[in-house]
Amino acid sequence: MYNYIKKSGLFEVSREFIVDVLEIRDLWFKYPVGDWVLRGVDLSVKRGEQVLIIGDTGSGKTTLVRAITNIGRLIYSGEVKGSIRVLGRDLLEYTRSELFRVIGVVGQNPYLYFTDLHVYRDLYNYAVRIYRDPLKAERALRKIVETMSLHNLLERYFFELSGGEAKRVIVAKALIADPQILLLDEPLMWLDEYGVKDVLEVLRTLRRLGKSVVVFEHRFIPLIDYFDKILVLKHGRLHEATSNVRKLLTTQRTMLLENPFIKNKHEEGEIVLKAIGIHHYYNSKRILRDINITVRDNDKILIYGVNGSGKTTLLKILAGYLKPSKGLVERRGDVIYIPQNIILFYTEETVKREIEEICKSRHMGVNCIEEGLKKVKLLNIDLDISPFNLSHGQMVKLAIVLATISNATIILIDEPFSGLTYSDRLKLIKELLILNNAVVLASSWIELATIPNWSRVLKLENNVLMPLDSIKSTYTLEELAEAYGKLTGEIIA
Amino acid sequence: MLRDLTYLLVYSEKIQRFGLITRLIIPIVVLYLIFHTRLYSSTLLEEIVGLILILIYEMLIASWIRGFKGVISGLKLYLIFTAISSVVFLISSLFGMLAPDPTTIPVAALRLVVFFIVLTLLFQLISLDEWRTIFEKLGLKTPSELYPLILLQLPLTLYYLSESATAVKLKYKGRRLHRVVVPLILLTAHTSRSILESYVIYGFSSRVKIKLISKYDIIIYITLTILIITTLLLHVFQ
Repeated sequence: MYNYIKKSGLFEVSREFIVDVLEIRDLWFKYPVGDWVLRGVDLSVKRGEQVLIIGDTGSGKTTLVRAITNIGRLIYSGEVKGSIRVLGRDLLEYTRSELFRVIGVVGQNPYLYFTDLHVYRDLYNYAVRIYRDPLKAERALRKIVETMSLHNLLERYFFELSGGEAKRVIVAKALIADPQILLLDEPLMWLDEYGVKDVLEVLRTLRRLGKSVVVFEHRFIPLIDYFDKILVLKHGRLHEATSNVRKLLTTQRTMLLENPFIKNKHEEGEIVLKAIGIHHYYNSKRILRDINITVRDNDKILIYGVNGSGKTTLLKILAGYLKPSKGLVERRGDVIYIPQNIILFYTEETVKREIEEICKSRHMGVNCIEEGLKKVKLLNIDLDISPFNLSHGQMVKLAIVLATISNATIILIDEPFSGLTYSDRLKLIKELLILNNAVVLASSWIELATIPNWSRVLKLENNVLMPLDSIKSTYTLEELAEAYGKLTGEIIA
Repeated sequence: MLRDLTYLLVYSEKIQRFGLITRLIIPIVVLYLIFHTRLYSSTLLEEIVGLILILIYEMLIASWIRGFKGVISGLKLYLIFTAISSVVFLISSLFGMLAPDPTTIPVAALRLVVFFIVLTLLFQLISLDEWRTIFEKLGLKTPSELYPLILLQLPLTLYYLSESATAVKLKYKGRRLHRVVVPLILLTAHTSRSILESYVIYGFSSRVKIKLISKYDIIIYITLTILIITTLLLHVFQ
């Protein structure tokens, strides 16, 4: 009977009348090793509804995506209990190709979702796979390119795209199959304010197209006005939070802080780094122009700039790893560089070995090791664990401990906040600001500038580094962290 | 330098106007000529001239794809390693080590460069779809899926290598630089499941049309013929 209905097309027709496009009842999920991650999730998403799910790092957001798409069972060999119905049909009744025609998925790292190097070819090949006819594929692709305004990205390689552009392309790719439901896992990760605007534009487009959207995100403030329903994922369950979020963040305003950093400007202390007249080019393209910066031994400097503004290049030049095309960098003392992708900082099997090796390579003896062990214990990190098994926040904190015990005069940190909640970001900033070392932090996150304790806040724009005199921000980082804490804390009594 | 090198390892849309067979023939013929020059040159000078001819041809093709400056920038890293190893060989006899004849070292270095460029041409001339089709036609189903997935990650891995090298070099003050591979291996393992997720969700299309021959191929055949004749004539007029 079911086959008859399916073949006759009645199924397609009946799907149009289903109100709940996604219905999850008492969903439990666990990986082969470890405890249950999801412990009775209930969720229903209506046709055209936009739902936001927030939660701490490790709360199970990505796991929920994996469960809904059956990836958790297929790839991670996870155990699932409960029911998931997609367009009124049990998830397990779908074949793989059928399922991904009704559910589109955009993962955290968009660069991993390309199956060809060339953007146009990637989209076109997927369209051919879906429509099995080059002409139909071409037509569908043209429509998507138009809707998502991708014209200027089509002739590029995927690794040349900024984070925001890559996200836009992958959303477009997911839309090629014209799915009814779209799952976006941390769409704002790595994005600057322009990237965030891109995502908001994508959400508006999806609403216009009548798609049901579920977004999993913990940097959620810029998004809250776009959602019909907001839920918090905590202790493996979903909790309704729409009215709480709206109540907590009612003061919709745009702050304009005029010269907020003047009171903190120090011209004291020994100069540990001086960059004079730095120019840098890549393939004849100008990256940096006449950069001058002086860092004193206790300075805490924030360099703000959007994605692709040249922050990482500038840090590498300051670190002495890259030679500038023109100009001079004078350093007095050691430099430690903590990369954005924090995994790339670690090289040893255990946390203990990390401490021993950094002390040994700098001929710093037993005292250095003892100090390191003590500081790491304060972070509640097991010394025998592999640093690669730590959470993102712990990895950043450990890197900072290693930098401080190594007697590095200057710590250069490139965007350490990806994947951290507002509260974790605030905590990390506070820890950085009390260090005795000079710190230069590069970030595309404007809210950082609302912290008043920076020695200086500089802006890298149009290849030039200049003081940031005023900032436009809806909330301060303190307000965001407080609201987030209240929200996640209030839900579970 | 690593970013420049990336562009020598990714295919170009520009070259797609030529047929696949022709694009496969280019590296095969050039590879043959490299070995031919090595095996049949009776003097060192003859081999050098032969290799220079091949190098010019390779540079013409590569520059047409990426631009001369792009190719030189991409080769920088490789040329540095080749130069260092050549110098090491040259001075090794001074320290009483067994060393090759110093006159052969520049030729060996040239041979290495020519060989490296032809390998990069293989990446630049053949698209991922075409690699998949070639493997499939050879009956190699698993490599036909795995190889493109690996090539897809190559540009990102090279970028991560640059990041890791910066961090590790400063962390250990230039020591233990060999450890940069550890985070790279772990990061690859870490992302491999995500790549698999992407493969399960989006997969590869099996209906991509491959252009085997094209009217533009004639240009390649004419230039290849000129290269073959001049290289072979070297042996006649030695």
